[in-house]
Amino acid sequence: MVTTQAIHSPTDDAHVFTPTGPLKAAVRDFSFSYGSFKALKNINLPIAEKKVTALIGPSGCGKSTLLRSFNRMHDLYANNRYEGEIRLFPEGINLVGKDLEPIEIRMRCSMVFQKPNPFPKSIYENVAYGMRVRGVKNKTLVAERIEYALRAAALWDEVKDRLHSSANALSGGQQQRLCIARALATEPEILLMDEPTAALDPMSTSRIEDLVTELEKTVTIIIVTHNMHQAARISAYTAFMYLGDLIEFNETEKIFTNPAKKMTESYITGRFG
Amino acid sequence: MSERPSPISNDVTALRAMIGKRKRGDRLFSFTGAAFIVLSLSVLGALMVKLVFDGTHRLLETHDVRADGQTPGYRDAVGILSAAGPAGTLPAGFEVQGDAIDLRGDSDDMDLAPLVGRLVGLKGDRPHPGNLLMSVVSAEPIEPLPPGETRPGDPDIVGKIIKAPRGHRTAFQLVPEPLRILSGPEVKNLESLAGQRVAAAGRWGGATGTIKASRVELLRNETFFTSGTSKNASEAGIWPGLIGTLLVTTITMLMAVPLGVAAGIYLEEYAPKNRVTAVIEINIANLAGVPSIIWGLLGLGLFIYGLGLGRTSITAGLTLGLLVLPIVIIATREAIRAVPNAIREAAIGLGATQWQTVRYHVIPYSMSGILTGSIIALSRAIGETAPLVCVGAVIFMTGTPGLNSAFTVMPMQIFDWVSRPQREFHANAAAASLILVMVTLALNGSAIYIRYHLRKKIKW
Repeated sequence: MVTTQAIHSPTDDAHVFTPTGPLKAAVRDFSFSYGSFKALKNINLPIAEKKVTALIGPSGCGKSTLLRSFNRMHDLYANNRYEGEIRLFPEGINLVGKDLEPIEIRMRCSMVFQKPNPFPKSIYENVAYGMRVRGVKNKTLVAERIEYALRAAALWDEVKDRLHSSANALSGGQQQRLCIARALATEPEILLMDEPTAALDPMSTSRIEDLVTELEKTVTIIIVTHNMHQAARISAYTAFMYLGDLIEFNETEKIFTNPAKKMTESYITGRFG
Repeated sequence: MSERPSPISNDVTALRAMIGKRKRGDRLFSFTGAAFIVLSLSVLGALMVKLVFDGTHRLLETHDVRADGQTPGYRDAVGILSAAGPAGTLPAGFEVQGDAIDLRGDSDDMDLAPLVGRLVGLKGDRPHPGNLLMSVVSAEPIEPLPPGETRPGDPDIVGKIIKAPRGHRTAFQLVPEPLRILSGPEVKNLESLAGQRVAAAGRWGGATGTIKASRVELLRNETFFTSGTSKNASEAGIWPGLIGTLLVTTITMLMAVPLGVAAGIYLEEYAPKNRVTAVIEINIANLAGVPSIIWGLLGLGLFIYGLGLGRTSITAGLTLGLLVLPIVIIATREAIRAVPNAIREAAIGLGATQWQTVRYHVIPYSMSGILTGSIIALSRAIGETAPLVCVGAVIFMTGTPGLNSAFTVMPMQIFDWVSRPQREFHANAAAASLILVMVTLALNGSAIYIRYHLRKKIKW
């Protein structure tokens, strides 16, 4: 999958930096377009295993598009085209390869969306759904996994007495943690979070942030956020994107204290975006 | 103010005045809206009042003489008058006029000889209530007609009964059993007849006279629900229409709901969004507006001439199924579209296949809308007449329609009755309309109930 992207793209020197630990995934020369609009231009981005990688940038920079590509969410809608590759390690399969079944990808890389989207069913059924689609019938196993996932999402103590009441009765923050539990129940390799706190109040946001820090020990996380402080607080690596280009990628501390690019500095200091 | 005011005024009084002026639109609109609602409700109310007023006595005050058990049933009798005098004698005041009575029968070769010397029950035409028995002096058949010819007057007449000559009162006997009171819109309150002298003057051969009613008893009568078409309004009923409507609607439902829901789901969830599907979408919307008679012609051409299904309930059901199919498809698509994409993404994002997403999320969450649309489509099918005329709904029907036999439906019967000149038939039409409206109301009511019940569980 050789691409013919412009050589003078700003991404050229972006992939100079590579994280020190093992990699879970690597985006290579990935481009994406909605119809004639090019949303991502030749992106190269390594994802460190069991670390939080944050994608930041102003609206329309393509960070959500990139995140959703990890989960092949774009296959649901017409007129989307992409080229390049996203390798998932250790096997090195190409997540966006045409011959790879998107359902397999989605079972291995779970997504948490911007707006909490629990199913209008019971809390139990919400968390169990990932196992239901796999055809897991063993009730003891399902119950165990549900408790594990709800504990991992720091929701167990709040809902253990009402697992069979409707998920809609939960508060927004609880719903989002339920969605995280739902994504965790099947032990995904990568947890994709698309602005998971954008619709939440500060208290709920801080709980989710604590949760992300806790989850980092067991799962690779890629998080899209509008909130630069959030990226600074919870991520190990940060990628700054602008208008479909990856401008700069580095350790979060470097990005926020000593950005290499003028544009990154302007953005994190709030001069645009 | 002589100087030109600023375009934006901050003068509080002026602002208040402006608010009043601006709110005039609100007042006007809410008044008009309320007026229109009152108007439409009163039209609906007037319709219901008229139907109830015209139709109820046919439903409630008509009773079945068979509950009596002893006498040959006159199905339109509404009560019993006990004769005051002893059986076997003609009460005072009876007078016999004329000497021959036309005998009606179903077949031309009826043997009349055994009737001689026997008592024969004669039924009077409405509105004159009562019946008499008379002894037959002689009976002779009328010459049968050659095939194809019709007799002027009453075509059912097969013979004449010659009774005793005028003045021979012994020729007549009062029925030992109580006399029957035939129904009619004018018989409203039978209790008031008790103890009264009731004119029993009949046109049965011209016998006239009065008998005294000493006891009045109401009898139940289910004729309206159990009988079919009849020349007598009081003997006519909705049975074939009711069964036909149920059969046809069931077939319509079995055809239109699975097909329409499946098509709606396919178009919304699976079909690619391109020019072809856009054209299909527009066409389905247009089909929902095609005049129903056109569907009747399609049914005639496709099911009767094309597939040879005949003029049967199945044909009618399939034709109406085609007619409501676009409505079901559109309702299904609307309902499915109301399911937020976030839900689909949530399920797909967990690795569900598209069918798992549709089966366990999209369909359950849109079920209330799908059911509501289907039921509204069915209540439209129930009221359709024009396409069924095309596929051969019959007007005169006495038996029970079957799946693969001739059929009729309630709107056809209503149309038949309302087009007859006799007022009693109009009462039948009103009563049948009332039942049709009730069936439709019940269907729509269940749609509302289902929607309420299912929506309670689902919130976005």
